[in-house]
Amino acid sequence: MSIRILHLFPDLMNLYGDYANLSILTRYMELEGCPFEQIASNDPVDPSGFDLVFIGCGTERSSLRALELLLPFRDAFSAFLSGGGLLLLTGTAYEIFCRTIRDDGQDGAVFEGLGLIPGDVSRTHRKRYLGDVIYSFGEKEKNIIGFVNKCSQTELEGPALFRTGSEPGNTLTSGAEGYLAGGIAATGLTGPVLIKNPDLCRWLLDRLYDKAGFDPTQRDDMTVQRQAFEAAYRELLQLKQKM
Amino acid sequence: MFFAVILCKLIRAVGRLLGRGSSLPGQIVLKLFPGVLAKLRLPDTVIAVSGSNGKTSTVEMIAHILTENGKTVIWNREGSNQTEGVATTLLCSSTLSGRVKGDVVLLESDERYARLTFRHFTPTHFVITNLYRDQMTRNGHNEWIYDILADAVKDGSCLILNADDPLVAGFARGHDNTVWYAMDRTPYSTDTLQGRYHDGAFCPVCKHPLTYDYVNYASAGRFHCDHCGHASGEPRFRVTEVDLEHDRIVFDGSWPAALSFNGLYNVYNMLAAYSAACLAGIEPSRAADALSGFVMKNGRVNSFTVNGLPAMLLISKHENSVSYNSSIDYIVRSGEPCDVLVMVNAISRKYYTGETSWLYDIDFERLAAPNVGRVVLCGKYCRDLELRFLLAGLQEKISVIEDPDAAVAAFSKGGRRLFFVTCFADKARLGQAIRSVTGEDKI
Repeated sequence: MSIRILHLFPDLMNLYGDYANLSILTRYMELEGCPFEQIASNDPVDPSGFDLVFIGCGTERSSLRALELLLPFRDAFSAFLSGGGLLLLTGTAYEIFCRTIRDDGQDGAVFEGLGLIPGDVSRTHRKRYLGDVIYSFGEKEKNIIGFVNKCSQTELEGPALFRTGSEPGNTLTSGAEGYLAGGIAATGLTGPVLIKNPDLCRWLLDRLYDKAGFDPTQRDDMTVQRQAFEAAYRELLQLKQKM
Repeated sequence: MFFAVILCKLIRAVGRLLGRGSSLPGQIVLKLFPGVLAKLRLPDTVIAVSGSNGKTSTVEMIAHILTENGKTVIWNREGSNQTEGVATTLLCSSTLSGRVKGDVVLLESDERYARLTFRHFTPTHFVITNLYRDQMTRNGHNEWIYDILADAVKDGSCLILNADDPLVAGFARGHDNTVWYAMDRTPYSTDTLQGRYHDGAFCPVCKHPLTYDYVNYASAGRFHCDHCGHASGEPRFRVTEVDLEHDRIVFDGSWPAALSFNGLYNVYNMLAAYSAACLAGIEPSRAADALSGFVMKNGRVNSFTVNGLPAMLLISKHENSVSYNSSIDYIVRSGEPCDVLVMVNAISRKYYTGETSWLYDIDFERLAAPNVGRVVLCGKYCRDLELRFLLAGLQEKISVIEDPDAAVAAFSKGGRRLFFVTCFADKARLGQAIRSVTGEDKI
C-alpha cells in the first residue's frame, strides 16, 4: 500500500507557496508511517492510478493555459473522481474546473471549463479582492484562516467547502466558499491552506488514509502547526472585532 | 499656480516642524488644484523609475551620478513615491510661476500609482527595473501589476528596460523607443531557474515554456520563447564582468566599478542607474566612476559588533522572497562560520495581514549550508517560521524564542559571526533588541 500523489503544474500554478500544501501532507505521512509516492509534472498527466491530484493557484492567464492543457483530459479526470480519487484545488485551479469562465481580461471571452464543478466564474481584473478571512469548516464549525487574492466571483450550484459568515466567498454575499463533493475539495483561498489550518490538513489526511486502507498507529499531534494557527487566528480575530 | 506652490511649501514647512511625512502637502494641494501637475514647467530631462525591487536604490544611485557630474537633481529622496509625494517634491522645488528648478527631475514611482502620476505629465525616460513577487497581499500578483503599470507607459517616453526580466520585456511590445540593459553570463550564472518557485519557466505572453541561455538570479537572465518569439532585447548597456570575490564589476567591457555591497540584485540596480545616467548625457566612464564604491544612505546592510563578534543586519523587503533570497545568498556565499537570526514580528508596517505564504517562496533550504551553524527564529510569527524550517529539513539547526530581546541575548553567545535577517517592518524592533542586549548604538 502506498498513497500516490500527483502534483500538476508545479511551476505554472504555484503563485503563493501553494506547493507547500503537499509538503505538509507528506511530512505527516512520513511521521505517521504511511508510504507514499509523489510525482510532479508540468505537462498534463492522466490522473488514473493516483489517489490525490493537487493543482495550486496561478495567475489568471496561467490558469487559462492550464485549462487548455487539461481539456483533453476532462473525461480522464471524471473517471478518476468516479473511481474514488481525491482532487485538491486552490485559487484559480478551482475556477478552471467550473463550467465556464467569463474573463474581462480577455475581452470578455467566455471559456468552457472542465465542467466537473457546477459553477460559473466571472473575472473582473480591475476589481480585485484582497484580504485575510476567517471561515468555518465541517459539522463542528472548525475555524479556518486564509487569504483571498482573486478578481473573480463564482456562482456555485452545489455544496461549498467553507461557510464564510459575512466574509467574501464564492461571491461577496453567498455565505459560502469553495466546493466539496464527489472527491473534489476546492477553494478560492490561495497558498498553503493546509499549512495554515491543521484541522483541514488532518481531515484530508484521514480521507487519504481511509481511501488507502492505512491505519496509523499514532497520529502526530501537529503541535507547531496548531500553535501557529492559534497565534494567527487570535490576531486576526482581534482585528476583525475592531473593524 | 502661485497659490498651489505657496500652499505646498507652507504645509511642507509646518509638516517638517511637526515631523509629518512628505505626502500630505501634495495630497492637500491636489485636492484643491487637481490639474496643477500638468501645468508645471519641467526640465528637459524627467526620469521615472518603477518596478517591484530596487526602485529606491536605483533612484539614489542615479541622483548620485548626476549630482557628481554637476547636475542639479530634483528627486523624491524621502521615498514618497505615490502621486501625492511626487506632487510635494515637484511643487516644493518650483518657482512661484511653476517652473521646476533643476536640470533633471528624477522620480521613484510606485508601480500601482505610476499611471495616476503620469496622467499629468510624461517622463522623458522611464526605467522599469523588474516585476517580481512583492507584497502580494496588496499587489495581487506580478502580472496584475504589469497590466496596471502598462497604463503608465506613454509613447513620449524612452523606455529603459531590464532585458533579462521576461515580464518587464513585455512593455517593449508596440513601443519603438526602448533601450535595453542586461547582465552578461557571469561565473555566478546558472543554466536553469533556481529556488522554491520558477516564475520564469513560462512565457508571460503565450504561457508556453521559456528557454534560458543562462539565469543570473531569480527569473533574470537571457531568455527566449520558441512559441511566440518573446525574447530578451538586444542590450545597449551591459554589465560584462562580475567578480563578487573582489567586489568589482565592469560596464560595457571598459568601465570598472567597485561594489560596496556585492549582491547580484545590487549589480542590476547599478546597471539600471548607469544606463539612465548615460542616456541623460553622462559619459559612461564618469557614470561608472561615480557609482564605484558608492554607499547608499538607504542601505539595507548594517555592520556592527556584538560582544566582540562581527555582526551584520540584512534588511529585506517584507513579503518579498527575492529580497530575502538575496540576504540568504550573501550569508551562504560568505562561507564564514556563522549563526543566523530570523525575525518576523510584523508582516507590514502599513497594514495588518497575517498572510505568511511568502515564507514558502523563500529559499530557506539554502541555510543547510555547512557554514551556517545555529538558526534562531523569533517574533510573533516564530511558529510559522518554525514550521517553515521544519519543512525545509532544518530541525537540527533551529531554536525558537518568541521574544526578540531574549532571542538576541541567546543568539549572541555562539562565538561565530552573526547575521540578523529581518524586514523593514521589524527593523526598529530588532534594532531595539540588539541595542538592549549589546549597548550597540549604530543599529
